Amino acid sequence: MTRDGPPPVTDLAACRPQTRGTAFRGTPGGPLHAAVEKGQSRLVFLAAMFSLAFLVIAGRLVDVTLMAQPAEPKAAQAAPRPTETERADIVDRNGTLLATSLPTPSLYANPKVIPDAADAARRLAPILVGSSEADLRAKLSEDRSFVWLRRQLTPRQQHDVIRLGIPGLEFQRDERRVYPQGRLVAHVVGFSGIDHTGLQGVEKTLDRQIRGGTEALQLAIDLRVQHVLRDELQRTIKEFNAIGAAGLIMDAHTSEVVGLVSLPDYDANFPGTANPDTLFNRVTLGVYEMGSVFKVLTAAMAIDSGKVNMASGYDASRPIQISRFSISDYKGKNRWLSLPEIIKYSSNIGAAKMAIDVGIPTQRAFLDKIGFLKAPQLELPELGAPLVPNPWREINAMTIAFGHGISVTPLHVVAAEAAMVNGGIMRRPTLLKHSYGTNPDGVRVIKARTSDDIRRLMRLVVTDGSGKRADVPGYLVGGKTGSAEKASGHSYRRKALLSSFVGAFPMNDPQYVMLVMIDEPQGNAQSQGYATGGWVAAPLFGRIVERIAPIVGVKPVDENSPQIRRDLIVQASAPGRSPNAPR
Amino acid sequence: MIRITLAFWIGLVCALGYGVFQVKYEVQEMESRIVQLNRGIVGDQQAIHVLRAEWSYLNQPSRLEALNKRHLPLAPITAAQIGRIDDVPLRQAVPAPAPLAPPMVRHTQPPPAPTRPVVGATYTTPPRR
Repeated sequence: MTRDGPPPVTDLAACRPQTRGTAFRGTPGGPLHAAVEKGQSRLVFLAAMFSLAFLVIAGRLVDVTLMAQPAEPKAAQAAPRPTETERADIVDRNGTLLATSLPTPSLYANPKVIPDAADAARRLAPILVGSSEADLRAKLSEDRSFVWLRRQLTPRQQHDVIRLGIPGLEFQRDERRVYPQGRLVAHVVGFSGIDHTGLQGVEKTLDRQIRGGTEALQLAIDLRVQHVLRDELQRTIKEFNAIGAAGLIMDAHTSEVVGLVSLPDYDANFPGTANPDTLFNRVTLGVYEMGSVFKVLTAAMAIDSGKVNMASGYDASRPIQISRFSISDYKGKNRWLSLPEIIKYSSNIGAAKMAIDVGIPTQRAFLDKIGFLKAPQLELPELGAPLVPNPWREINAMTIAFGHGISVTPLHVVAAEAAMVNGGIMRRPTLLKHSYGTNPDGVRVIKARTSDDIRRLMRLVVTDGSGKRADVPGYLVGGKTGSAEKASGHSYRRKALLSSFVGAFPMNDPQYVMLVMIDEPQGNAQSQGYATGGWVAAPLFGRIVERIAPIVGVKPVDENSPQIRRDLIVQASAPGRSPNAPR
Repeated sequence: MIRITLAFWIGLVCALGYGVFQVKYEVQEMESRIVQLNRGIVGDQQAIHVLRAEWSYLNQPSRLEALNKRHLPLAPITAAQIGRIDDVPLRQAVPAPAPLAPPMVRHTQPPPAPTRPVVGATYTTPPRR
């Protein structure tokens, strides 16, 4: 092949114009030749530099595109963590939702953008129920660029507002606290306000934990047990025309609160409808003279002090006269009573004499040990401080022995009662669930032997005494009835009773301690006109035990098996002896 | 020769260019898909959140109780309905089986006829108060 023009480029020398002849090339060693050589070497150097730069770029390209970077995720990134909310959920011990935050839209307006405030107000008023047209018009006419119209709209309201198509109306994502269980756990969970701060119940006491947390807060409450408790209390209120009721169920070994009901209650979703009466927590805030249920504690104190044993007894034949007071028995036996008989027949005289025998300092120290002299502990903001006599005279010691002259909360009683039956260990009551199998530390308040005696005594009350109506075959219910007259001013009102039953089941190995208390029940035909603990609270206790025992997994036992008989036998009819009499 | 080399390189550049753009579009598509998926997941999570609240609301024990009363014949369980493992009687003592014959013999002999009627285990709940 032929080509015109210059020959192919082979070297730099060939590029030089041929026309100028060889003279231009210069002679080797001449100045011209040196300049050419210099230019050549510069070109080579430049080419090398460019090659190097391209190599680096190529290398980097390979590195970026083909090689895996250490910071690079191995797989595609999934969606971010579950929706963040202002407040963490609250669930019961089985994980049922008790409180959650749901996203809701809030409506605000930019009045500067709204073309016709009067027209907008007229059309908005029917959607935002509760806001008057004049009010809306005033808001929409303000000379600002932001004004809240309504917080937390329903989805339907949002839809309607969008359909209006008015410019200048905007939505802001907001949150609304929802309590799906409504009234059922109102006194436990409480509620929180519009700015996401807890105002009542656990929502208030554990506000910091709930507000910061993403994990759900798990309570010890069992919703099923809670429902049974509330349902039965409600039924009893209706049945006996009472003004209120309180119920508390606690795990005897861990002191976890499994059920807590105070009636009347309120719907936590509408805290605005609550009034002081419904907000009042009778279990933890109300302090009451609990009456005869204290006799179990008096007996425990007396037995534990060593001055009294199950075979001891007291003369209950005559009322005690002290200063201007007289202590007598309700349906007294008017004879010498053994310790089991004092509990069985609920003898005020016997209990009072027992307390005097033990002595005022011991009684005071014992009540201090079981926490009766200060406010109870629980994760609730409403905790009532007890009303304790000051000075603590002999008459006080006597009345406290049968539950008058000292006012404590039902929570005090149940926490102490748990220690009385669980072997003598007192633990701090809690609304939070312990992880399975852990037993929190506790303080020993009575000896294990004393606790054993107390179980027998409590069982005796149900088999032979005033608490017969609490018995449920198979579940070995034990407890103590209480019927305290409510104080009004300086005297007691005979007709206004506080009927209660405090007990545990199953008595051979107590798992749960429970208190039920009915405020001012009125006797009816079915209870033969009585409104006392034995007629009102005891049957209620029995019904609750029967319903919750299968739920919480307490197995029924054969009450007549030799083992059970041996565990719970009491020589109730043993001739009582004075503790001072020679053995 | 030069032309062939040139054609080869031009072809390679075209192919690479095509490949790069192909991958780029694929990645773009996948990215928009993951954004879409993530949006869907967040939406689902929010829906689950709301549904959990509704589930709890619909499971209010009082509501379930009313529904049960209306539609089912269920009643609270009583102590008498709960049995224990001890209540189940042991099977009656059966005479120990004869030692097994060697496998070959077992196959050649007909199975032995039962000597007494077969009795299944019986179960009774002892009456309680």
